Amino acid sequence: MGLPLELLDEALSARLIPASRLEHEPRRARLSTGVASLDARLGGGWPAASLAELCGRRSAGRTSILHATLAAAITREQTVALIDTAGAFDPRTAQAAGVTLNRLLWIRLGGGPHRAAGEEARAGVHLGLQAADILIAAGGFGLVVLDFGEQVPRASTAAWLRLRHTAERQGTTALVVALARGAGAAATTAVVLRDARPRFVAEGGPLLTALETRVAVERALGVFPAPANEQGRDDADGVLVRFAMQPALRTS
Amino acid sequence: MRVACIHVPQLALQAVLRRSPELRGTPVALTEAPIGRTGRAGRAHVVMASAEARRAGVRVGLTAAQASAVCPALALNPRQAADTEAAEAALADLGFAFASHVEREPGRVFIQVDDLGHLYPSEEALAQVIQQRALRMGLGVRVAIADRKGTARVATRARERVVVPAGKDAAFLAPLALAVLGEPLPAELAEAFGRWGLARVGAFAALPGADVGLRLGPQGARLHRLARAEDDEPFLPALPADAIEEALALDYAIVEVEPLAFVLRGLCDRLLARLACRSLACVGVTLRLALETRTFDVREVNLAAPTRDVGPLLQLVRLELSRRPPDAGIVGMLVVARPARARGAQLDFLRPAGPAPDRLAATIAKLAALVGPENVGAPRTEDTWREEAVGLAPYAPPGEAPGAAAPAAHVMSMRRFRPPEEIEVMLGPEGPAALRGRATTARVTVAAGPYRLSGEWWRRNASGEAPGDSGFSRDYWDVHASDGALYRLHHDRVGDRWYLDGYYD
Repeated sequence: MGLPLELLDEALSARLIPASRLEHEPRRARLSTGVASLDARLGGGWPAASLAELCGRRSAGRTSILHATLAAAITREQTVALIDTAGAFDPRTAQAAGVTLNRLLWIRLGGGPHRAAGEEARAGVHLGLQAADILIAAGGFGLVVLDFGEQVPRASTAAWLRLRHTAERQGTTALVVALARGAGAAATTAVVLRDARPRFVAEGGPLLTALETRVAVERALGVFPAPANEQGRDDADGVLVRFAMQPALRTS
Repeated sequence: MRVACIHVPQLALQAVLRRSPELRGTPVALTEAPIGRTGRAGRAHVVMASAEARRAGVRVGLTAAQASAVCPALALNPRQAADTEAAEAALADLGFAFASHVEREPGRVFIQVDDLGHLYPSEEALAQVIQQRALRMGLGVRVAIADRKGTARVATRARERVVVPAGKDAAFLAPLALAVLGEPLPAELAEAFGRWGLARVGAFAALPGADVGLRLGPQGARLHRLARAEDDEPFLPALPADAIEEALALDYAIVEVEPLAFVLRGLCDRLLARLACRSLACVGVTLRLALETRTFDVREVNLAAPTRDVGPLLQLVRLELSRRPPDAGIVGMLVVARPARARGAQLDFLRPAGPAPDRLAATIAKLAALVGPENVGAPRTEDTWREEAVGLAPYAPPGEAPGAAAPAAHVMSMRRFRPPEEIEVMLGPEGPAALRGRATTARVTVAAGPYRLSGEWWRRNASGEAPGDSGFSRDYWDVHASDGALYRLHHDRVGDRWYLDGYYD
């Protein structure tokens, strides 16, 4: 004779954890994204010693989040590297975002602005993964960013898993920035930016003041939904983040 | 004073085996062609032979043809000064691996070992370690430790490895054959010893010193003091050589990069092993290639940081040679290493552990080899108003660079097209209305600007007259396009062209 299940559930409901909410892996240390609202969503930031993805189309705000992440990591004395497959990194805006340039190891793989196709794209992805493998295998890097620009990084699952395992072994956060997700299940975290909107004010003529973007966490292993934060409006689609225009770019 | 003597028997032959380790265990002979009175080289004959060759019947003095007939598998190598010099230098570096004071003489080095007792449990263990270290450098050495230089030198002629107990030099020498006192013993002295019926050092040492000097002269007196372990030969240490170099002369010209890289690998391996002996790392090499045209091609290859890893160094050398292949076939090469202190890692309680300095250096070198050295470093803003200007500075890991600034508030960043893409722009009454480029075609929904930037007008053009093309004058626009992107573009007022600089992201 046992207690009815309903009674048991009621008595212990406060102490029961549904299987769906069980943590699949031990809690990881976190590396701040530099954006408080996104940190809250991710349970403290990008998971350390893992593979994460940050995706979005042109002007979705990927680079702003990337620079904020780099600045946060450098401030915490992490060793940081950026593999720039398109050669698109802009030191001026990065510096304004708080990135200490001489602390950043920058590896340029190309200078083409456009989306490469076919063999060229595959070669670029392969070269980027090769460079990331060399960097992460060296050990001691806190953050290695693989910026594929406007590419969708097409690589074999084995290649992504290898990158993830190397990152886990060396305690490095490997962050892949791309147009769309490519690492699939190998990534422990995937953040997608959408619905970005520029903000102009009319002061005589239109004046660009900010870029607002909606950040959605599509995949976050081992993270429970975080509460809404003070900085952005949290809703079902993600959190709204606002990046202000740098006055230095308006020079007259 | 305790002195160790490290001796390389048959140095010239060992130098060849060090250069070509694949010959170890095979019959090898060293040949030399004497230069005749007419200045022409005579017939090559064997001057040294390995144990395998001697077992096969090869003897010193045979001509190369005779030696080959006796032993068909014999590898004949002409004696090369470069090999011997490199092996001599490597032997000195071996000495510096154990002591700061090293005295060199042909085929052997002496080191003081009094203060090494703290590092090794016994002198026997030290001698063993020296031999092991030498083997790793491709040299088979004999080691003797004694109170006096002379005794240690004689002991290396008699044994492979020996430690003469302190104060027992004379007792050690006494049972040895008299022949070990010289290399070789002078003929007149050997004859005199034979006449006197002397065979052992002890018997010679027992003779009265004054009478020996009277009959055998200063040379005999010196040998007598040596036999009685009373020689007062001073220890004269020399400074280590600044340049660490390895050279190689080729039998035939190499034209392709890959075979050249294969040969260079051996040279670089040996260089780095010698640097490691002196607790140094390599920060770059100078490559001097002797060409078929009797000219030299000199290259500098620099590493981002000191390393002892041969892989990245070799990759950079290969990259340099692939980029600018030599004009003619290569018949010889000299590699000079630029030594530098290897950076030590100091862990910090308050900071996360970064990459070990030598591993970081090797990693940067590997990346430089992969993507080109001009593409690896720390980004740097240039001192110009041109927005697209960017430079690269050497990367400084966290421990060395100045402190990081606190992150700024959320600011909008930009992604640049390098070089800026030339586009066509349709103008409306309030600025750009549409744009068309190679990969970007869109209507402009909002255009903010123009923001005028001009500069460098003070720089004269090539003819030295007007400011001309060297200056720039641009009108910048921030436009929101119908494809959803927020572009930054500019109108070049000098050339009347439009360019897409990138987009806010």
